[in-house]
Amino acid sequence: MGGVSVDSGGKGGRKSVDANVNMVPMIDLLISVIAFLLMTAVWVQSGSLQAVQPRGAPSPDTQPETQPDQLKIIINPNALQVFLTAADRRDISSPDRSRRMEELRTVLRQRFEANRSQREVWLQPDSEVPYNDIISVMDVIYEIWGGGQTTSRPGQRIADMVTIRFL
Amino acid sequence: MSSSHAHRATHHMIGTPVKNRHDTNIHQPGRRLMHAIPLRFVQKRVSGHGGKSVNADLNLTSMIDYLVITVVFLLSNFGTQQEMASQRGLEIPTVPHADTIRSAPIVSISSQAILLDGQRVANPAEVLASTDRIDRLHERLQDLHRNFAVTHPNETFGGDIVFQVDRATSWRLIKRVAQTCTMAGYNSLNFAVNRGTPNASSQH
Repeated sequence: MGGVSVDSGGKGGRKSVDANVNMVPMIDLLISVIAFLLMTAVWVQSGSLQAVQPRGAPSPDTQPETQPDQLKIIINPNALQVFLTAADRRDISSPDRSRRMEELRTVLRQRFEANRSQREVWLQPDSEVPYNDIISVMDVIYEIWGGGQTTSRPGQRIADMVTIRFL
Repeated sequence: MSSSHAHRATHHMIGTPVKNRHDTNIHQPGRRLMHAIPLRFVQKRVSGHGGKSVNADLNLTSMIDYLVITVVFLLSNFGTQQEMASQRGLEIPTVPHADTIRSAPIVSISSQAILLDGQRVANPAEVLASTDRIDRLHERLQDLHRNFAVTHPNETFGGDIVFQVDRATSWRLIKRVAQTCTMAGYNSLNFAVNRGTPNASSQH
């Protein structure tokens, strides 16, 4: 039962040299390996989105560093504001969250295309903003500055292409 | 050759099998398996003496192919990445774009507790009520910072820390914890996420 016969001679009244390979242990082994792999596999893949927190608030005597080309995103519970300067502020206040993210994606892509050397994005979340909204904004930034790649390539992290800072 | 001689010769060729093996091997036409085995006998043996055969053939080739393909698929997806232990009830956001997670101390933040590497270091309600740094977290992180050179002899300290935060947590609480981490030298915040396409429930 469960054998594979390899006919390889036995003509002319000589002793047959048929070889039987027993398949049962092989199937047992394969099923055991599958069971082991299914039980030990990691189905949820973890990843991370990196951000840098300033090392401390500037003292009142020091003038704040003026960098006019800093791209800032203010995250409110129901709205987003994207701007380089106060003059070009863009408000995204769609009530639907996914639509807001879609608009943010469009605005950030325009900014990125306009100045590809821009490698820093500053986030200023409101205190009441849920963590999920902040992560969604960071995900959009990762998508655009990372060139749409879903995960870091070997030796290259998306966090090396864009620095997210919190104000 | 005369006609009587020819007729005898024909009869000799078509008639009963010739016993003498040196004679010409010409037999009556018809199906034959071997010299000594009549074909009808073989047919009876194969078909179970007239009844239906009870032997069932199982095709092992396709089954083994299937098993081998499954093993190869599982092996190719068998990541070496370790599953990150998370606090019970902690719902981590799912996003499609993320870097691989770095090995660093893990701070878990939820509405129930703030943990550092699985050990409780603060109560969220107390943290929100106070404006000071979280002392216990600060001390533990300073210890980890001091021991970094010993525990990671060939690496330089990058200030990396992993934040494992419940997706409903407000930024106010995260910011307070992040400030304490920054004071202890950990200012590179790695927000842990699950990689994948966010489903409809995680959109809201």
